[in-house]
Amino acid sequence: MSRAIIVARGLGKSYRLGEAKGPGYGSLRESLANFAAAPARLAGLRSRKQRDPFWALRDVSFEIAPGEVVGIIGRNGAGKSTLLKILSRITAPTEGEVRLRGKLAALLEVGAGFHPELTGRENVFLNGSIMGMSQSEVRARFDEIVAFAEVERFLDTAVKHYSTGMRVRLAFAVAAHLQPEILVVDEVLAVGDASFQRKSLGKMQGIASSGRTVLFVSHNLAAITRLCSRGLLLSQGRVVADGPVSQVVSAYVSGEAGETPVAIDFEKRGKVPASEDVRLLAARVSSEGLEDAKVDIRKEVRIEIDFEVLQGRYALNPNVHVFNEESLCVFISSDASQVEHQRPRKPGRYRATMEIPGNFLAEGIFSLDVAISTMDPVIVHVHERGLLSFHVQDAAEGTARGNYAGPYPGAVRPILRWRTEPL
Amino acid sequence: MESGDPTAEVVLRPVTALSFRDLAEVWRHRELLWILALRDVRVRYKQAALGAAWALLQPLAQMVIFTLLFHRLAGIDGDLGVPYPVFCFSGLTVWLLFAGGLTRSSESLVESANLVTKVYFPRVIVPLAATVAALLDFAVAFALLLVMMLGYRLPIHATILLAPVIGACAALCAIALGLWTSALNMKYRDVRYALPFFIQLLIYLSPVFYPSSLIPPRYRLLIALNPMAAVIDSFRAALFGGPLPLERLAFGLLFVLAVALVGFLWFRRVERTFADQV
Repeated sequence: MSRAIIVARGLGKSYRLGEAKGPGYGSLRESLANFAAAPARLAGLRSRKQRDPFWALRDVSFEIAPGEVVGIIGRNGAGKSTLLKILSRITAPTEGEVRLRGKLAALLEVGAGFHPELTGRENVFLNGSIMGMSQSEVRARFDEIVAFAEVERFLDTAVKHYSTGMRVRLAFAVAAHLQPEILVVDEVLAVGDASFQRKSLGKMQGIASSGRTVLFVSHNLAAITRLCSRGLLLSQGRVVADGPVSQVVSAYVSGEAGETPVAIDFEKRGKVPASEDVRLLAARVSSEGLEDAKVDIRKEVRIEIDFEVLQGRYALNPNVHVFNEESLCVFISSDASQVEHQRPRKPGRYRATMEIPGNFLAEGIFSLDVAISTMDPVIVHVHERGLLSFHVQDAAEGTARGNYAGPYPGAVRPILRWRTEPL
Repeated sequence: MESGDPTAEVVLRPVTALSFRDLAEVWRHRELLWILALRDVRVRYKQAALGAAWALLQPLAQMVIFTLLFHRLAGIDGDLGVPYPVFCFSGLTVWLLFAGGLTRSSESLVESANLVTKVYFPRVIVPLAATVAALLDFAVAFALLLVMMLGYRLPIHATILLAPVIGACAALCAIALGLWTSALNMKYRDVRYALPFFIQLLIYLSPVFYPSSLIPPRYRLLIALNPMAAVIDSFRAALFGGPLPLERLAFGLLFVLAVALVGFLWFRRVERTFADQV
């Protein structure tokens, strides 16, 4: 048994509320005022309301052996990104420690190290260097990187003219060719197209089979199941399940882990996604007979979104993006599709309900982004990815399947009207 | 523990004191320093029609104004030893290295927020690279200065070889302050407003467009507290021949080095909270 390559013990990260998001800096004046008030606080006169710290991560301990491929899952705000940020040394833990016994490369966001004004070629060198590669190493792997990213023709074009897909391909190619002992990949692949996703999953598989360690965060449970051998489920900053990936994924989907993926109440958690205009309070999935996040294919599924309008400047339209296991966007729906909803609403609390008819979605796990946007001008106020998920199951009776029991592909499975008449 | 050893262990803990490994780490990233500096320069002039000419335009315009204002109108003369435009331009060349380096390094971290929140590398590289980028502007201005000296048929002394070294001292002054201002700027955007004001004041307190000899003896001690004054005087002495004020320069540099060192220690302490602040 080889020695663990990553050891985390009692890891915790706290933010003072209001610090983590939004304009994180105060003015000097505010700090000076706090400083001046310090003697008063020492004397027991609390001049300032003490803010409770918010623990994004708490008591997280695990060991990862070299060559393991670990999928980190959990819903939004579970602490996945915070964990990756600590592992990749972007932020320091508040308590506990991590031991890393190898070079780590992290790909946390599309083209983070890119400069839009520079060309693709210049950016490969810049990005490689930021990630700790020497120029001669980059030069040695340059052709490989470019070929993998499929951007040969645009090498001397400024990256600002690249599509998001091209950027993510190039960023992934650089990170994957670093030959790190530990590769950390966050959600980013969701941006690429299906063929690139397959290619990069293959690349990660290759990296893993050469004995290196991969940590992979994705909302795409199918990809996690395919790629990873071990799963780590985070919920509210803690590890709630750790084991073979299939067990952990099913624990997640069934909500065994204490938190169901079908409802989230941001207000209760104390961390509300918000902009100046709107706050997303809660979101939930409901369906007749809904249990363990399992939905009968014949039943209608309702998505409820609770939100609070803070100011009536814009028409605020809740919308839902539905993805299947292949990360294919099955559809997007918005209440802006109705004319009367294209006007600003008065400040106050609202609940929007979207209904997905029965016998519409196919079988499988669906993952939902919930956003609140303005269509004109286009402003995305809040966008929470993979916020909800549910598992549609085909009862094989009264469904499009009929009596057929074999594989039945397709993103949707509607019962359409058929008529067959003698000619 | 050796760098490059694949079994090298990195321990990530809550922010603590500094170790010598940190210095070694900065050294290992020296290539990145150069690449970021080149990036800064490329990006700065890429969409500017006049390109690198801007590096010359700024000191030249200031020289013309200062010559009209202080030489012709206010009649600053003294024992300059060289024509006023050359005198003034030489002061500006080294002054703008300091001012440009300080301004750029102060803004550098905030401008690199997308890097700082997404990728790990020693953050101190960012303000350092910004100062190095200012050195390139300095090189361009310095070349023009030499042309001017030839144009005015001034003798070229062997001590001119020291001039770039003294220029590096100005860059050191910039980075000594830049370490503080760049990190403070992450937390308090007050820096952004205070700094131009501070630099504006300091140019009047430095012998850029007047000679140090113009200052009454009773204020000389005050001037000695400004390391840039010693740097500018030394720069001119090296260019135009004359006794180098070595004592003042050494004193100034010691002070600047101390500020830089404490700044570096402090910077390393706070850098791991940067990602939580932007």
